Amino acid sequence: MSVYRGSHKNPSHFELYAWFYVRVSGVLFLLMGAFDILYINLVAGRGSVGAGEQMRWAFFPISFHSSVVSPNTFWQIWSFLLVSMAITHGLNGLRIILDDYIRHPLWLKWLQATVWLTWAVFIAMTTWIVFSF
Amino acid sequence: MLNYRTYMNLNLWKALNYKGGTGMVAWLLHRLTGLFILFFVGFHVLAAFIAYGGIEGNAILSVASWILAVYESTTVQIIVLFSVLYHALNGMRIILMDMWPGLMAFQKEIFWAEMALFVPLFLIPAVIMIMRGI
Repeated sequence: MSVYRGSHKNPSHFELYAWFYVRVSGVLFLLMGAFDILYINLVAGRGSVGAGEQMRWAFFPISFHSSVVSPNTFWQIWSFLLVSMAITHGLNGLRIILDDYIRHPLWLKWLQATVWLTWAVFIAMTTWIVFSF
Repeated sequence: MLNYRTYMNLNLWKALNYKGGTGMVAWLLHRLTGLFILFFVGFHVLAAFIAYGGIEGNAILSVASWILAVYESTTVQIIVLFSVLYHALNGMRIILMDMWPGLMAFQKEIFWAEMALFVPLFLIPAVIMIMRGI
């Protein structure tokens, strides 16, 4: 796993918070996915929803992914939270992988800056997609 | 002892011969499935944004529809199911051992318990999706 690069004089808690965020969001994804599965089977679909649709709805509950749920504000906010947390979780993972394999410090800095920029671009695109439909 | 020098001398053959056992397999799969999910979600968001985002131009739209055709294929959907399920269950195993470090003594048993959950949870929907269509 990644090496802690903080200075001892001025300790930054960033790595600790990132570690904690990955755990908390990971558990939340599971709980949110369980709620999605229960909702589409017991409330919306009542047994008429296929396995593929259940999977797509559980992983990202947007009306595009379902034939039985029409778009509404609750699912928009819910799916925005889910996918923005997932993008943060995933790009933080990529940051750690880069930390593991990129040995040149300058390359590492540039690539990690690219990760943050990618994060901002994807959050913006996600906001547009989720709240436009 | 694995120090910086031996790390630098690692090659693919040595890496493949490293006897890490279940822990190594679990770690490697966690990374690979994580990267796959990251690229899947990234390309999916990008293609959806291009296709529905009011972007003009046939060239870029044909790129988007090509990406859509790839991730809507049965193969990719099955890989998505595999990756998300594995990453979720293995993530729970990691959290369990982080919370209660004493459990690390039973990491192999926990890995096989995870597999006992993963195999049916993956195979049953995967077979249904292949038989009935995604």
